[in-house]
Amino acid sequence: MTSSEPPPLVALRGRQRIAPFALVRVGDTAAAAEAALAGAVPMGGGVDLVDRMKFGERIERLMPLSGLALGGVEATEGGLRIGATTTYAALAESAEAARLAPAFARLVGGVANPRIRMKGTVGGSVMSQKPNFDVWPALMALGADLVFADGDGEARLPAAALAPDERRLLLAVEVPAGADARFAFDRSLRPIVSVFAGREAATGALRLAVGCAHQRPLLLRLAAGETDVAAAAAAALPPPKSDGLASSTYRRRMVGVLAARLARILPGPDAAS
Amino acid sequence: MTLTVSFTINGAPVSTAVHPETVLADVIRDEFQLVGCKVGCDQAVCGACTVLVDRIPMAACSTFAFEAEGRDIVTIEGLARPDGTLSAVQRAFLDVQGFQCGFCTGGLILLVTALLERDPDPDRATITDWLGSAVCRCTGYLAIIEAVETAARLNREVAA
Repeated sequence: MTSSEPPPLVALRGRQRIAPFALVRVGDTAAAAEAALAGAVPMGGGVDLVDRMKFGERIERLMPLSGLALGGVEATEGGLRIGATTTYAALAESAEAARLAPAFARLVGGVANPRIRMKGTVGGSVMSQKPNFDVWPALMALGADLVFADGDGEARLPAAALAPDERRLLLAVEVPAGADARFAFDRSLRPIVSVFAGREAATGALRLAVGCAHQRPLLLRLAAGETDVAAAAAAALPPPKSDGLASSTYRRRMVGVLAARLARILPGPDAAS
Repeated sequence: MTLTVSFTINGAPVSTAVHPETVLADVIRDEFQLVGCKVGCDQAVCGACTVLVDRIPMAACSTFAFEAEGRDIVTIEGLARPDGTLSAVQRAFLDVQGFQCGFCTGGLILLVTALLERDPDPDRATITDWLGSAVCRCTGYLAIIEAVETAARLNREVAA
């Protein structure tokens, strides 16, 4: 560097270094599914993944999913199928989603900001399993299925049954027909707690998915006719975390408060509680 | 290991060798010296590094360079016409002084450009939703909102 050149600015930019990784390029979904099982980490929009890598997570092999036919929102016999690489923005603007899952579409359309919504994907949000993200607990409350590549076919898993170490390639999520009409959410206390509620059509039971309060979102189920939803939800909740935002006690209490509010607006046998 | 990535930047086709872990902001700034792309938070939150990728606003700090393959990148340096005439959004920010220190302004102008391409006459709720994509620590946003509304009006006047 000669004396006339300005000093490098790198030190002023606070950049986080990303550890080197190998890029895995695949041409189709079958190859992606195979690579995922072999340990390649799928990347949808990368919103969460890049952040994690900047904070030190080492990924040996990264597999971008862009270019694969994994996006799109379509009505099916069973409800609404949302491809894993569908962005938040595409889902929020989808006519099919507006028709078949308007509350879920409204939730997704209000997450973060337009720049994030145009890059972040439904599949990426689910598979990150981040406690503060909204899509996965919403799917739990909706009674949705996760659809994974499985050999030459597909395997369905209830959203709440997603394992922390799941390595199969997520292809889509499926929201059951009619579930959205019995779905509501409250994100007003995020990032302390968020609660997503769904009423089971067959039993009248209340599904309550709780975000932000534990290492991973989790699902509670209250039987139909529960007379004190707030107390029952708070009692059923495993110990929430305490951190700089809120104590465990406060989180537990607020889960009850939000659950009771949601139960009141969802038609069902315990609506008066 | 490096790979070659080819894309257009401000209308010019380019190719460059990058490591897989290289982010787009580094290429834009270090390789092409387009330093209007600022790196602030480095976590895709503040929006100072926003560029348009196929007309979609993206945080260049958290977009890998390999994701730019075959795509059309526009930075703040590519928004004015070759003769120096500012775009309507640039003009509006200047006219209403929708900035103070200016660090966030390039990203904001690109963000607003993308907004007005999708919604030529956005209401206040839409504008504030979009401005949630960027952080300005100086203005308090009121002047920026006025700039967005002014830009929309300028666009309408040009179209009329």
